[in-house]
Amino acid sequence: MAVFWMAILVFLYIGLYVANKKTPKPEGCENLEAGCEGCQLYDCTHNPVHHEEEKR
Amino acid sequence: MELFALFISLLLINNVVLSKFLAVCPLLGVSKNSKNALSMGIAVTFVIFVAAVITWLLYYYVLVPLNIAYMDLITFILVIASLVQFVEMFLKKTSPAIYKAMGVYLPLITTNCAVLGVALDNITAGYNFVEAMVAGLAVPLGFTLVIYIFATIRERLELATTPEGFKGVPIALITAAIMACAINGLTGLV
Repeated sequence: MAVFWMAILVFLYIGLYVANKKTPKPEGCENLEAGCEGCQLYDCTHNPVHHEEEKR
Repeated sequence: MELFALFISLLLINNVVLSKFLAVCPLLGVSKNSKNALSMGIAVTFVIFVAAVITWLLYYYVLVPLNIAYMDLITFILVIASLVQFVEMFLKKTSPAIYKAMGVYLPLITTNCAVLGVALDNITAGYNFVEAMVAGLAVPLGFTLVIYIFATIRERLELATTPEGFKGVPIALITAAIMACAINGLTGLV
């Protein structure tokens, strides 16, 4: 039962993630930034380190 | 009256950021600008409230009847992550104005430990549904209050004469510590 429940949750998350990725952003919202000044968590996509690399 | 006392307790005395030290990452990361801080607070409030309600219902109406209550942690993590994806998708489609105001903060909230903290606290504290809703509202409002005040202080600190070695994060952490001491003074109020 636990495995079955886990499978439901995982597939639910994957399905919503894919659906969210496919949903286009509204007009004017393509280049929004969180305004986060970043910390030492370099795996966080909001860390400005990644934005600097993209700009290069 | 008990609900009101619970609300005040979670909003101020047992503040999620200054007493429990959860959600410190967004506090330090998104508090440079008071407008961003307020947007973040509103987004967190919405997500935590909905997550608190859904996780409480899932725990008592799915996990406990199926005798898999031990899976509450992983269930809550996946449900919160799924909820954030759904909310972001819903906002993109139905309300571009709201998405523009707070949508960019939604992925940040997925990893916000305060969301999971509220969900788990509601269970361990044995709250009923109404109390869980009150907790789901009071905790993020307390977070919003603190992050907004913190952001306004940091904006003023930018203009103040701060020693070079203290500029940025050091003075921010000192400010947070002083705020935590102030909040600690409210202990015993309720």
